[in-house]
Amino acid sequence: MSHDHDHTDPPSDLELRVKALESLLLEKGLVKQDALNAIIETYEHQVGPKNGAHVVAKAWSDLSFKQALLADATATVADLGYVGRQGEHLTVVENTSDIHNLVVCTLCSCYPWTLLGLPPVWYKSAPYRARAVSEPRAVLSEFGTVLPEHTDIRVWDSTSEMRYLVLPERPAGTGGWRESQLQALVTRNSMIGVELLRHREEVK
Amino acid sequence: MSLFPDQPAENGEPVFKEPWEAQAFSLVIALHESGVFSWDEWSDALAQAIRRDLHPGGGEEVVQRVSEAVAEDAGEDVGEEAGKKTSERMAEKEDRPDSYYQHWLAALEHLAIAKGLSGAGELAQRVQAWREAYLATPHGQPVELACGQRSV
Repeated sequence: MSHDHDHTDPPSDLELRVKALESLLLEKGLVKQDALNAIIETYEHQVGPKNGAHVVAKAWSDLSFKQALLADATATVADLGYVGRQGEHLTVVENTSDIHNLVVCTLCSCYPWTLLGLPPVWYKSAPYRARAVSEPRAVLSEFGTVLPEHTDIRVWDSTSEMRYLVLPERPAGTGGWRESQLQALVTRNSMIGVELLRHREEVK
Repeated sequence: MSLFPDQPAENGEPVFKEPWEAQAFSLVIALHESGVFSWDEWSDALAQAIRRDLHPGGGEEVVQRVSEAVAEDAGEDVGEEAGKKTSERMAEKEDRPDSYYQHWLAALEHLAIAKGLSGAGELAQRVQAWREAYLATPHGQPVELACGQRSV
């Protein structure tokens, strides 16, 4: 992959063909962006978040995997078969009791979709992109996430070359849980960093 | 949601490996919902796309023409380079047994052209315009089509 900065590597022929058709149909008014978003939103939970949840649950269960993941996420998730098709790199950032990580793409909508599936519509919205950096606490509170004053909030700006995944804190009360049980707890939003995980009674 | 045989699915819901697959899916659903084509027409188009892939050369090759027009538009690339690209594409196809949404996209292109939603040449030009927009956009900037490349 080229690291030349005066151009952007075009995506695959298939992606270009979809973009071409979509942009033509939108311009001609034959489809509406809102309608397309609504259809995709219905399915966005069906794709990747399970892959990301697999990585997170494994990191909670296996210390050496977690260390490898934090040191070189791209290679470590590739060993599990999760490889971005455009060769983008991945960094995993760990939440602790003192540090909370939040991921955004201020310029467009770069997203670790191999692990998280389709980006939610709000992730691509101009207000999120702008405000995640300027007022992350306010954005988090709109997602119902209120952090203690002393928590250090770190905002990570994705690019087409580097994507970020948040490793959320393992919820209390899950000692002795199997990896598959832990996996069911991990939400997409927690891996973007907009929500904290709780031990929910209904997940057994 | 109606599902077709072999459509990748989990718990009866479609699943997508990559965002473009969902984009192609949403376009078909949206066009169908606004009455551009019936679900039967779509089933036929999809079946034909699969058949064309299994028996290339049989029947009209609109999509093939689109790809060729794109290659011609690229200009300098024709010749050895274009030949190499084709063989790489073939290899890529063999590497990916899950060609379901490739057929889906081919069927959508076919039907869009057959229904007069877009011309084959217009579509090919637009693919090339997007490719050029990527190449002309500094890294990290949002990629947008240049105004001159939009249809009026």
